[in-house]
Amino acid sequence: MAAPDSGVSPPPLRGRVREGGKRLRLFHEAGPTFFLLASIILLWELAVWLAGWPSYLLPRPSTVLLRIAADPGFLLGQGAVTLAEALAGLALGAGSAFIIGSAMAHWRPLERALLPLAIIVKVTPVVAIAPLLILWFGFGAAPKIIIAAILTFFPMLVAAVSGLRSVDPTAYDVLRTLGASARQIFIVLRVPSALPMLLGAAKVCATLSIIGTVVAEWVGADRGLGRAILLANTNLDTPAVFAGVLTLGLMGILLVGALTVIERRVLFWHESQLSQAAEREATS
Amino acid sequence: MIAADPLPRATGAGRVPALRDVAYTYPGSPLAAVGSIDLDVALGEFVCLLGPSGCGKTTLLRLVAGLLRPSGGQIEELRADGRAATVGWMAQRDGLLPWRTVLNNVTLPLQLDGPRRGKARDRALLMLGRVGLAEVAASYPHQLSGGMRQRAALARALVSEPGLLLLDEPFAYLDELTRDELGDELIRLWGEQRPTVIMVTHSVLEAIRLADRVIVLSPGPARVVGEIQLSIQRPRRETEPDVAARLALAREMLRGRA
Repeated sequence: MAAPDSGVSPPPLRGRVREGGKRLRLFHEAGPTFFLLASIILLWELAVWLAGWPSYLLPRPSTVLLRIAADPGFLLGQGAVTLAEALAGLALGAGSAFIIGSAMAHWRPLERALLPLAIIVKVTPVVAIAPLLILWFGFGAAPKIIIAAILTFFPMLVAAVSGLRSVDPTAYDVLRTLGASARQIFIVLRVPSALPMLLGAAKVCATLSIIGTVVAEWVGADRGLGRAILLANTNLDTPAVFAGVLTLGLMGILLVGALTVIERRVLFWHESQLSQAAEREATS
Repeated sequence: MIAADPLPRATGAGRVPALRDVAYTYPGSPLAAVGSIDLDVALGEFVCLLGPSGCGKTTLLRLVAGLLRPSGGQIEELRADGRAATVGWMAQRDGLLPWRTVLNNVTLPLQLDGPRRGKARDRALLMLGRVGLAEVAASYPHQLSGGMRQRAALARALVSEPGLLLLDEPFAYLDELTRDELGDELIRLWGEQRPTVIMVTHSVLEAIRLADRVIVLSPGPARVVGEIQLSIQRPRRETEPDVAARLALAREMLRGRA
């Protein structure tokens, strides 16, 4: 649609106004996070400095940052191991949950049969079975991937089952009167309709996969951030513990951020995105 | 290049349903939704099922569409010639897929048949032109008004040249002006393609304005209480004496006094 005021304001001015809008938008989106984080760090720094606590009890943020700067390669390397294991576990857990969830959405008896089993898997304390898995699969990547997969399985399963069933009834009727096969209805209608729920679950699963991997590394590993944090803990190297936790935090933000970008692109038609777009329009 | 019209002009062919003593009760419900209905529809005829809200007329239409299986009686499908036996379905909600452009929504019925993408696209574009939506072919449903969305739904229902077009209160959510406009549009497209049409409505005016024959149903469970034949030239104005008389008759029938 053409701008209604295109005849009124000269083109160069419009360009500048738009640029200002963009900057304002960035401010609106990243501003609150930035200010909150900055003030927490500042307060923390001040409090520790004033109280004079030793750094093995609670290190100052500046000490943690110096610690990271001293050997960034170590954290990056260990972080990459953990991230790779977490992503593999996410792919395995969420992927199999989608496939099994599709079957369950299609056939209710299967849902009744499998759901209790899935719940049992979900409530099994990961910390309890992690040593067993390490006994079975060794100190390598396999037990980490399996635990991350176990943690991500259930949220994705639930999202897949209800997402694949939440279809527009009229669209469903149209497809059925056209004689569409179950497979066609699945591809054309069910999967796109489930996307909002699937992507929402993917965000939850992304953070869970990191937690699962770290827990497994904690119990027994030859590398990874979980092991690095465990070692730092036993050495009372608290700044290193915080450095590891911060790296994990950044990892989580990275994954969820990437999924949010994908969401914005893929779900441009969905109410959640339309209302956000309208809000952005209003603030800029 | 010659702008040839790839849509063949239909000549009143297709399929007609014949209902024999059809009844339906929803599972677990103590009451029947559809009583016992006999209904014959002629080839290319425009029939309106007129009844009060909740009388079971939508259920009846779903039975004809094959979306429900009758719990009593039977529905015969009489096919007249080799024409595609597809059914076009349009309801009060458009049911457009919000992630597809208007064009891709209208292309959908053709895509289900097989991968003749280019041809399907051309036919869909042509159909969009016929309902006056050529300019918004690349838009998404959420960018259109309610009337435009129903036009798109109508285009989707007609793009595969169905032998039978089933309409479930298709204009119920539209304002009066748009409703009249779309009614005229529907009559024009019906004249071009000549599918058999069965339309469900609770609007007496809409039924009398559009149909060849109005079948008046009782409050639920649906039974046929009367029938009005209409051979009046379209477009019909409610001020014309012939039309006004039929309107009055239909209202009397609905009230159970005729």
